[in-house]
Amino acid sequence: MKSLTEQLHAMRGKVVWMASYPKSGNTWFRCFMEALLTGKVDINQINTDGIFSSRALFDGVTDIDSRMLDEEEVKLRLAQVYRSHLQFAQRLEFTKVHDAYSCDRRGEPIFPSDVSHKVIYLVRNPLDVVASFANHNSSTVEQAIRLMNKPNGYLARQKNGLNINNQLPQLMYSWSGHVESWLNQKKIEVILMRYEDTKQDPVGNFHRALTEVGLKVTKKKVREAVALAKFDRLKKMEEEVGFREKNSKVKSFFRSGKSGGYKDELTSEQIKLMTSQHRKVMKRLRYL
Amino acid sequence: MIYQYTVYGLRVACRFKLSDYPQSPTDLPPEVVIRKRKLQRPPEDLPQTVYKPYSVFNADFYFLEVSHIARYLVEGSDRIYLEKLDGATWGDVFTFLFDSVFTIMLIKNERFVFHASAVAFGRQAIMFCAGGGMGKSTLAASLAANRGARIIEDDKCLLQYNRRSSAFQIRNHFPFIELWRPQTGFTKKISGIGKGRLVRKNIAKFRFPIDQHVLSRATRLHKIVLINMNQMEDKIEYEQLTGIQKVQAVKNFSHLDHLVNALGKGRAHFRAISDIVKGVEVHRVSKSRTTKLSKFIKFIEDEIID
Repeated sequence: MKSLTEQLHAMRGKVVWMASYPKSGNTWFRCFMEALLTGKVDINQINTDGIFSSRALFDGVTDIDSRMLDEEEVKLRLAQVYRSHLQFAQRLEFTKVHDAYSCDRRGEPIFPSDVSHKVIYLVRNPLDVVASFANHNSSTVEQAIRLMNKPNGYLARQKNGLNINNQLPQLMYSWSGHVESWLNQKKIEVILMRYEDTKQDPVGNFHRALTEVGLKVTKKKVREAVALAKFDRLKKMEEEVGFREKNSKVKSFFRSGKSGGYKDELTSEQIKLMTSQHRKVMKRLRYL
Repeated sequence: MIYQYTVYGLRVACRFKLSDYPQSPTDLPPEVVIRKRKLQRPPEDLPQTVYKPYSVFNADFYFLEVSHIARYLVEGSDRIYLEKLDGATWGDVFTFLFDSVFTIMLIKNERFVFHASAVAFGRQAIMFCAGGGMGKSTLAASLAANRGARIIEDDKCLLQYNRRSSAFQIRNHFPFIELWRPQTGFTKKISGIGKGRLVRKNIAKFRFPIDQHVLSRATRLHKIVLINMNQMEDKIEYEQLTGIQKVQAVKNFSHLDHLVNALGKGRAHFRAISDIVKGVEVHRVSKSRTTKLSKFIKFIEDEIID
């Protein structure tokens, strides 16, 4: 069997999008990949292939300062930027995405299907996402619910023409809108991973995802990587050395990682508000 | 009617006004001429040429398309052609002309500008090199507003060797400072700053004239401070570099450094950087993504300025 490095090299020029609404297990998956590729995990040195909304990558490919472009002008160039970036990639890339699957004003998808190998869509019960997202944004639960229910919710978007963030603005839609944008599109094949299933059987689910991507990896290797990327280890690492991806206003990025923790954290009113808003998609994903 | 300008020391002439950039009439012939012309992306099969989605270049030319705004062509070391695209304003066209396109022209003339701001404390200048969005302009404005520094440049710095003093010097070439809306308050505390106006529609960055603020003479470069992002959570790291470390580190902060080799100027660039770092202190400071700018500026003031 070819080594993982050889397999990834043979598939170079394409990308696997690791797409998710925030706080749905994307960092866990990236840590798992890091463990699988390098045999170790340092949460501050996760060497998967960046984030789709990277301003540095955009500027490097376009030779211009994207801070001088408005949001729509950026969107018009995103697909081309990734096509160009992937021409020089040395392996199949795994790139984190929080954007919804959307189109620019010409109706062209911002994710170029010709260089997209697959999308691993990571989803988590929105009721568990709420409290975690509130912590992540240093906001109240009510504010997190409002953002998750907002049809045109954004991440890293600054108001009134400010473009200071080192990430480009990311249109996410609502939580349901995000899920449906990825699961309903027909251009890129989707591998769906429910956080709750992965929590229950990490080895089986990570192995399945890799197999569906087209990579051959033994279960033993997956088991070793899962052990290195265990939630408790990541949390301990954050306590010891900090985590650069954490919002400076909050105590920790890795909180409880539990499934069903919402029962202790949300009021019945809040649960009702979320489930009424997202019933259709929650049912589709077996959360109701 | 011919309009004449001096852009980073190059005499530039064109038949149209370059927005609010100040003119500088001279009897000397121009070193660079800018003309309007219809432009097309160069053919796809040229030898030893780099093809990117929006730019094409080799040792002879550099073509850039900023879609829906303009096309630019730098030919040789003395010609720039530009074409405004439908829907764009001339202000939009000049925004990118003064950024990437002029940097390319300067590289072609072996003038390597740093992506940096600079301030003078008395007769000594400090240059702060950093990528976009790291707070170069804010740092310069803050030091001018709160510590009595004189702003020299806020985004790109050209260093020039002075034979008499055997040292590199820096002076103002771009007579504006550009600040994002939340930072514009600094300008009220700095003498000689003019009224600001938006750089582009929908972009909350303001351009303030500083020609009444800056010194007309050049100032000797004393320190280079390289600002990086580290991988830590809210931690500032600091070190002073020595020897070959200085060359390697400073080189990366030339504006559009990644294009220099393909433009045929790799050797000249390396030589220029090696000469510059010989006589100056080079400090490297890194901050994390989560470090507040105010905390970082305080660190610079306490550890590097004092």
